[in-house]
This record gives sequence, structure tokens and C-alpha cells, in this order.
Amino acid sequence: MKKLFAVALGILTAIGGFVDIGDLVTNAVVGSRFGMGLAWVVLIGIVGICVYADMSGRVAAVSGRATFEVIRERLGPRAGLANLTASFLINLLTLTAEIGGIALALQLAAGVGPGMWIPVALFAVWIVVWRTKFSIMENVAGLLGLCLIVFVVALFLLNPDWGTLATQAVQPWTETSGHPLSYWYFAVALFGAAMTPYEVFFFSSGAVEEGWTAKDLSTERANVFIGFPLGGILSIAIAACASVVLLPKAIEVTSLSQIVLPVAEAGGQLALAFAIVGILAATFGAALETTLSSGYTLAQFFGWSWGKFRRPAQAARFHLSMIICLLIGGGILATGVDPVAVTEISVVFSAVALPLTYFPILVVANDPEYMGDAVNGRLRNGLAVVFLAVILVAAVAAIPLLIITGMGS
Amino acid sequence: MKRIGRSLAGLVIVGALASGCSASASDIQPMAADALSAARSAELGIQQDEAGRTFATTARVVLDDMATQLSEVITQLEQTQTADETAERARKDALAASREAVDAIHTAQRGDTAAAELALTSAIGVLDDLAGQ
Repeated sequence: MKKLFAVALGILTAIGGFVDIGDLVTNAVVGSRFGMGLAWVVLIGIVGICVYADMSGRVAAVSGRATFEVIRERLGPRAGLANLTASFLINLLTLTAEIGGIALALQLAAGVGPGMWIPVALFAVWIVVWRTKFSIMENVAGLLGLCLIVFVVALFLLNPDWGTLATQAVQPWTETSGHPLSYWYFAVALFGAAMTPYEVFFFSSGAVEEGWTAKDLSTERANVFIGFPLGGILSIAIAACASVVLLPKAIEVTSLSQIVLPVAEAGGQLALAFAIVGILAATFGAALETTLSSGYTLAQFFGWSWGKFRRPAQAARFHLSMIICLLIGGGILATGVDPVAVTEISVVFSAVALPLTYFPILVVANDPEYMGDAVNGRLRNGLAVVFLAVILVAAVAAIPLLIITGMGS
Repeated sequence: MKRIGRSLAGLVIVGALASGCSASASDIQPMAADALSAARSAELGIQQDEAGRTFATTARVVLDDMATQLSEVITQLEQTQTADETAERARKDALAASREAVDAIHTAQRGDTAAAELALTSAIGVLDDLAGQ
């Protein structure tokens, strides 16, 4: 019974924790612009993140060590440094975007500008990371993130023409969709948002924090293969809501306040309240995860003592590095940069950094020295190689598409 | 993406002006589309506020965001040098409609939502024509 509860809780938190500011913004932007024409990218991204998160979680559960630690040991300091640089910088950018997302969500509730909320968000993230137990932190944020199910409810309340949505999904690009390069630019951005690197590092480090062993592999698989796809439905619902309400009015999403318009239209103040709480929980949860991921990657590369299962005094450099990352994120936002713009940049550069993040995981998951009998099978390797090819194409195409299309505009 | 894209587009326009290039009517079209998007978002926000479907705080954020977006479009339009009479007419129409939309948002923020909606409808009509050209 206890095991069943743990699995159910893991699935629920995986659903609620799947969406972050990158998913929110990118799906709404794409839905308002292409309708459901890029839903296929979300589906591909979900399969990709499942394949690699499973590998990452399995490495942690079987070896008892976080993926990043093993990567550095297995591939050496140079390859580890390349992995660290790419992952850490993207993570820092994502952390900045998430802090901005918290501020924007609070602004929606209070009506006061986001600048005032940034210090509040930074302090709240720091105090939770410093004081709260890992399991409580993860479960509360994940469960509150389930409020985003309101986007699915709103979609049904809007009573859309399901045939039109299906047509948009199966006929991805039409002449009216705009320039094909813009379409592909947004496809890469959406892929980057779905496969954000911090998710796998947090997942694997979280497995070590919770003391997973090979016996917990069934829980890990349930979290990944049930929780993540169900979480992906939330992403698709966000795009669908934008497609139903904003696309016909030629409204293109540029701010968080536009993302909640379809929800308010469908379900009024109650639905809007759920949406704001959900966005706040999703961004706050992701801010916690990215803050911890920053500390995890640095500590695991440099061999520092790390983990929330240790008291802060026993993992001083780990905690100090997280505080510095939070301050850097806050400093970037203090310049007055638009948090939505930071989000948009972070998802595109995520796509660029993906190969450096995911290739080492594939190598480690195939090493019997660490994995024993739990090395990747043929099916997993086949899928992983296919996705690695997709990741490589997205990474190579991201920057040229960004320049040629002027960020899709 | 659009906001950063617009900033980049603004830089391109400034660069183009420096090199002696001028905008055609088709260059005005995306700016009108941005203004239309903001005006329609503001209109939806006002309608939801009137119908009690949104919180006053959230409606205020929507209007503030859209006023900012329209102001950015106005700045771009003001800085744009046109190539011919058709483009100049389109620029002036887009500029006037965008300014009307910003005024309408300020009217809504003062509480006169009926007058704001009327003005927004008029601005949206003009911007819709320009964006669709």
C-alpha cells in the first residue's frame, strides 16, 4: 500500500511538475500562431524526455550516484567540463526565466509590477531550498502544479470544433501558417522547451536524494512513462486553448497575461484563480529544481559534498553556489529585461545545448561497469540514437533559424 | 519571441534608415499586425472584466502589458521612413489607430469601459485592414 501511494504520488508530482515557464510561454505562443500545427513536436519531445529521463533515473538508482558525477568519472574532466558548461549556463538562464515567471504570476494576482516581486521570489526560493525537506518541497510544488489541469478543463468548456483542432494537428503546416522557416524555428524552440536539460539532472540527483535503489526502478518508470506524458497533455492543452481563443482574433502571445485570457474566457474567475495558482506553482517548482540543479551540476563536477539530505553546513559549497546562482538570476532580471524574452531565449539555447547534455547520459547508460545488468537494451538504444539524431539536427538548426527568422518574427 | 523579434526589426529599420533604405507598405503590415494583436487582447481583457470573468488586478495587468506593446509599435512606426505615398498613408493610418488604441486603454483604466470599447473597435477595424493587406 505504501509502495502504491509512493508511485501514485510520484506520478502526480511528475504531472504537476512537468510544465515550467518555457512550456507555458512556448506552447501558448505556438498555439496562438500555428494552432495545433506543432502539437507533433510536443509529442516527440515527450517521448525524448521520457527516454533520457528514464536512462538518467536508472543510472542513479542502479549506481547510487547522480548522472553528472558518473559522466565526469566515465568520460573524463574535459568531456565533463563541456557537459557542465552547456548544462550549467542553460540552467542559469532557465532559473532566471523561472524567477521572472514567479514574479509575473504574482503580478497577475496582485496587479503590482513584476519588479517588486523578484526579490520576494528570490528569497522564497532560497528559504525553501535552505530549510525544506526535499520530498516535501518536490511533492507540494508538484501537487499544486496540478492546478494547471484547468487548461484542459477550459478547453472542454470552450467547446471547440474538435475537427478543426484535429485537422490543424494532422496538417501541420499550411500556406496561411506564415513563413516555413518561422514554423521550423518555433518547432525547435518547442522541442527545446520540452527537453530542457535541467529536468534529467534534477531527476537523477533527486533519485539519489531520495535514496533510490534498483528496487525503485518500477517507481522510476511509472513516474517517467506515466507522469511525463500526462504532464505533456497540459502543454498541449495550453496550446489548444490559445488556438481556440487567441488565433481567430489574430492575437499573438507576447506576455503571460495573454496566456490566461482563454482560461478566464472559458471558466471565469474560478478557473483563472486555478490557472494563476498553477502557474505560480509550476514556475516556483521549476525555480527550485533549476536552483538545485545548478548546485548539483557544480558540486558533482568538482566533487563537493552535495545534497539536501545533508545539513547546509555539511554541504556549504553546494548551498553557496545555489545562493550565487539565485543572485545572478535576480541580477539579470534587475536590469529590467523582460522575463518572457529570457524564457524565449532560454528554450532556443536549450536546444543548442541538448547534445552535450544527452549524449553522455547515453554513454553512461551503456556502461556495464556502472549499470551491471541494467544497461540499455536494443530498443532503448535504438530509440535513444534516433532521438540523439533529432537532438543534433535541432541543435545545429537553432542558431541559424534564430538569426534568419529574427526569432520567428 | 515577437517582442525580441520586434526589437531586432527595430534595429534593422534604424540600420536601413542609416543606409538610406525606406519601408514599403508591406513593411508596415507586421507592425499593424502587432498593434492589432495588442488591441484585440486589450478588448478581450476589458470584455472579461465587464462580464466579471477576470480579476480587476489581472485585467489591469493585461491592459498595462498591451499599452506597453502598443507604445513599442508606435515608436517603431514613428521611426520608420517610407518609400512611397502608399506606404506613408499606411504608416500614418497604423500610427493613428495604434495611438487611438492606447488612448482607449487609458480610458478603460479610468473606468469608462464603454467608451474604451467603442474606440478600440474603431482602431481594430483600421489595424485589421492594414494587417490583412
